Amino acid sequence: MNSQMVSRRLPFYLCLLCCVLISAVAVQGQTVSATLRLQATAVNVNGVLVWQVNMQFAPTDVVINANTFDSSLTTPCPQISVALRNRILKELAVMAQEEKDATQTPIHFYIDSFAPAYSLPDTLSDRSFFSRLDRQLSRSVNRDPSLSLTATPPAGFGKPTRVGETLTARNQTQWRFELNPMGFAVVGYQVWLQTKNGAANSDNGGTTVPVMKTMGDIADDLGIKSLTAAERTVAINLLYAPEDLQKPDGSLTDAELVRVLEGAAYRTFLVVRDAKMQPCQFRDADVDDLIKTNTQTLFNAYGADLNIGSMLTDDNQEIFGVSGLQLVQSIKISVTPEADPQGNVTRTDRDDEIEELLNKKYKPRLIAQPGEIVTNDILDKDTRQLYLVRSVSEFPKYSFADGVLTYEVTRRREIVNLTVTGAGSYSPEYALNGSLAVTGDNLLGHSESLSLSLTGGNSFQKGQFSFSIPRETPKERRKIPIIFAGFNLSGNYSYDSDQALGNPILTRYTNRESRISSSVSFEYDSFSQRDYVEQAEGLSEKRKRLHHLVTTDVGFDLLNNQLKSTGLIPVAPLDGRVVYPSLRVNYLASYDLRRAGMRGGIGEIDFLFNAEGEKGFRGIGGDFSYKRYELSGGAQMFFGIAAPTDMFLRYQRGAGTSSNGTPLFRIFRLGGPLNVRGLEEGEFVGNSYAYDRSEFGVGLLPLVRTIRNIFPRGKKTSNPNPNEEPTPTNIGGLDLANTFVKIFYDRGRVFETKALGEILNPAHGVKGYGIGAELRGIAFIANKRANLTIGYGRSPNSLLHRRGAVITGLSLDF
Amino acid sequence: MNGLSLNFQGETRVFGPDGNVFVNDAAQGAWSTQQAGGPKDNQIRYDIGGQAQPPVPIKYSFNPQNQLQAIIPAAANGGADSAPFTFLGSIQVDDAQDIVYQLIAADTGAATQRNVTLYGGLRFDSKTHNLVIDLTGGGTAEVTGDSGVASLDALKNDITPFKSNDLLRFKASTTNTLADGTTKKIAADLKFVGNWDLKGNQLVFVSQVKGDVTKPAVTLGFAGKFKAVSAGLAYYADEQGTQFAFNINGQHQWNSGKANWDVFLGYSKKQFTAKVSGNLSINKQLGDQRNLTLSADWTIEHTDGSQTNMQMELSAAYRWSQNNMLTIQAQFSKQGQTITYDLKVEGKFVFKSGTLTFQIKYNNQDPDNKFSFQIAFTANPTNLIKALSIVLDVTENSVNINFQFEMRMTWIDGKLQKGDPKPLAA
Repeated sequence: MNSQMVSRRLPFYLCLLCCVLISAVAVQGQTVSATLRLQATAVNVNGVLVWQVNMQFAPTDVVINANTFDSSLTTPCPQISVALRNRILKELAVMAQEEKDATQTPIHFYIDSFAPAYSLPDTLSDRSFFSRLDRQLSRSVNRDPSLSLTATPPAGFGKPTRVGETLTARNQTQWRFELNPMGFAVVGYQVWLQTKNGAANSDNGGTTVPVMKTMGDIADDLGIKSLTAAERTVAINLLYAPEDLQKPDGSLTDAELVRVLEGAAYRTFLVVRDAKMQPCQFRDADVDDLIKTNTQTLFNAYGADLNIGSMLTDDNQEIFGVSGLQLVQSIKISVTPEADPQGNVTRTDRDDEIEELLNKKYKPRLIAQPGEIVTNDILDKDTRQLYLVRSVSEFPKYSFADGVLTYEVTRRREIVNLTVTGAGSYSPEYALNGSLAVTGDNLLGHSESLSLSLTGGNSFQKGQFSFSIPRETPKERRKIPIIFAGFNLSGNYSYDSDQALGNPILTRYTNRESRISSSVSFEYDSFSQRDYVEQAEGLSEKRKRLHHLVTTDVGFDLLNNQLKSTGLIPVAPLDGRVVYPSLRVNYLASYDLRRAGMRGGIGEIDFLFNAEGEKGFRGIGGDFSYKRYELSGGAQMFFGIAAPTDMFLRYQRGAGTSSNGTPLFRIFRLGGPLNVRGLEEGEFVGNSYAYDRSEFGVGLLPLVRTIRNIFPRGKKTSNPNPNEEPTPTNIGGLDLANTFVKIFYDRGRVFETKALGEILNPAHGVKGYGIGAELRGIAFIANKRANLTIGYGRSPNSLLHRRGAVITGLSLDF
Repeated sequence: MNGLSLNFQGETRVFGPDGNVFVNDAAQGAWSTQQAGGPKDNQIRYDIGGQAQPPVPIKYSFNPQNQLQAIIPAAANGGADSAPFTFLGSIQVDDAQDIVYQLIAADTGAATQRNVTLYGGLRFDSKTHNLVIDLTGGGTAEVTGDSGVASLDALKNDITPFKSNDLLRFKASTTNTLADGTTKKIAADLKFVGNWDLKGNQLVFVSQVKGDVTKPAVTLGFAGKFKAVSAGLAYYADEQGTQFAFNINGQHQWNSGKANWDVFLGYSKKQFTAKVSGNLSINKQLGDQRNLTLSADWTIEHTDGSQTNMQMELSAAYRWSQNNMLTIQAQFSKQGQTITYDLKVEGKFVFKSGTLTFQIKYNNQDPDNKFSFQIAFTANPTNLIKALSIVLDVTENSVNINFQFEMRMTWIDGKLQKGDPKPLAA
């Protein structure tokens, strides 16, 4: 075996020897001469006249004498002088950009000292033009010979005589310079790969197996047809050790191992190619860094074992090297339980069970398999696959040690809650109430909620049962992002001793109602989670600005009602069962116009459209056959002077109609927070109705800031104090930035007609107006913003609240 | 005859730049400063008519044009210093200890085959950052850099395609006026190969002497101030840390397992372990950017028991990863490009008093408000909080107007959890 290995290594060493012999001749090379058209103007800096360089250079300003190149460069690269000119122009452009960015003091570049004729003061020495050019080019010269850039001024060059004098006027723009290109000229490039064992054996004098190929050979082996003729000539050197052939369940053949290394070499070559590495160029430290970073990312699994670098040989071949690669010997999925709220991680038997289950089920499905070299794309796909497992709570991590690739997953704790809650509350409508609720979460292990609650007061009693499966939160966005947005099944019983229906003050009703209701919801959201964060941050200019959100609720309700008159003028009781399926569609389009640093203007425009329909039928004991439809649409715009969300204007118009036979408790009720504020809900009822609502709001924060500007604390000064305390954005828990004071004007009308033109027109009906505070975004329900309005509204048409009434309302955006 | 004149017992002997020794304008011997296997001292050895003469000690210096000047001291020159003689040539360093001055022809400016070797030890002056050679036998000679402290640069030196170490470059040049009156400026790229290191509170460059394994490494010390920055280690020429000189490539990453910082210095990636010793702060202007600066005092303990105290000031920016995780990325500019890497600091979101912050753990104490920064926003922080609540599954405190009592039973992995009752938040 050893003799075989040694014989295999011989060509490799012969090649290296060739490189060394060639290098002995090539390393010195010769300096290249060039001329630079340098335009400079005399300026006065701290009392000293110096030459300030004009940093605008055209390609014709740099002329390289192609004849002064060493033949070892010009033979393989006849256009090398053009490449050098372009490289110098690139560095000059970087300097010009630095001058433009004005990040330095002083910002300009000046002609270097040329003793004894001209001297640049020490304070400006780090802005010396030729020294800086030399310094920038030298970043890419990592071996001998040095660049040794030397400039020679034109005859007669010396100190300027006056401010504004130019080199052009003195006919001294043609400067000669010399440099040695041998330390960074690249006539070709290669890729070298070593396994960890190969590198160790190479260092220790152990046995190694070198394999020399070209990219063409590798492309043929891997069946890749897309390489150009020039790319096929790129030399690839592979080095491994006999130990790499061993596997726990047998061994690899040399051919199999070489094929695996060829795959890794091809991936490395692609990284080099993506960085636009070309032969017959000049070495660029930035390109090298990019290749190094991307190769590091590609083979990230190998961590500290990985050594990546590049080197320019003495015969001007740039070698990109990767060392420390290992073939995967085995794969493991390890499970860690999620930390509890105290941060403790306690492993249980359940974790062992889950670990065994995951290894059994998912290990064969992983892309990474023993006998392969793992790259980051493979690891990404595998970790993503494991993340989608339901019991995995965090994005898995991975580690690689001693040939074992371990995926580390964190398991979500299986938490079941059962809660019994007693509560008391007060509301203007129902006065004092008490309640008892039993709530269970995740009892069946599907994140479902189960609750039973009883509420009772002197005028109102209610019992409710509900079962819900929450809106799903997919770990990854689907191609068509329609998601299941929840299922609800509820049953309730209620008794209300004072139900308003219409406006007959002498007639009151008691309502006994029982109901079974179910609904299932679906949602389409054009925003991903990242889009939400970026929109809320408002920093990224490239963020998605148009947001569509469509929700659909399909419902089925069974409602028993018993209405009895308790007023002075009795009316016949209204009893009956309503059975109706329903469909509701909501569409929200929102366009975000905010820009980073933007002060005023329009910040956001939203459009909302709602459509709802239900059909009552006589099956399942139903007493009423009817149809009921409701439509609404509106728009809102946020704008401002100091900030684009200081104020808003909002308009919404809605209408509904129902067929003959609609039971009294399903006819439209005018009044309340949903249509005409200032009226009590149900003060007017009708088979059809229409309403519109107009609002104008001003943010509390700009109001407070304006007041502080008008009545500042202490004396007003022309220079603002940078240490002055900024306006607080939160007072007593009230978020000023999201609280708006608004005025509103609502109109509404009920009809008994079915004429569409009339239904859509709310004019000549009742009206309400008032003022309120809108607390925006007090909660997020699903991913919709919930806003709370508290205020005072009055309607001149109200018979129940002639002086107006306190209004409260919770609305989803908007 | 043009050259360095020696008064030898009343006879004038001139050491010419061409290597000849002239007596009465006639070449009668040859001189050199370097002889194979000979002593490495700063003496001229010469012969007259093939007869070896006593060595002549020389005092070397460099003039403002970095040309080599030589004087024969009084003790060897009949009681009075010789007139200084300026050699035309260029400066080279043959290893980290000596300077070789290559002579050029006065008429053409072409390099001759003759050198003058200055023996001694090299260092950088703590104030001027010029290259100084402490001459063997006494005295110093100082090479002036081309552009002040900017003449020094920390670069990479390739060893193999897989490994690199560090290169310290000192850029100077010699300006010679030739016989025809023209000037010839010759670049002197003085390079030292080795690695950067910290000795006590001093930054040093440990340079390996090329080609001689018997020679110890030469340590070049830097007396200025240094601090850890995102790009590596910034070296300042002055004690106050205001005059930036050069940056040494490196990386700093929080090691959560060991609760300290892993510091990698230079292209040779010399590794240190730094502990936070105080003055932690996070500077972030609330506004339209995700940028922040992490600052702290660091202490690095070396294996010999010594310590290095330094300041850390890392420019960073927080970023959302593909998995919607918040990561803190070191950030710096290099040649107009923004370079980033993960600082690997840990943290957690805290939503308190209407403000969303991210508390960072980058010392060995639990994170708290002192080590946090507020998430940037341009419009509406609450929107961001809500958005993050969705994205990151952050549970917010809810506001209840109700009074409640509650009995809660919790099963974790099928086992009923026992615990003391806890009052509910109002």
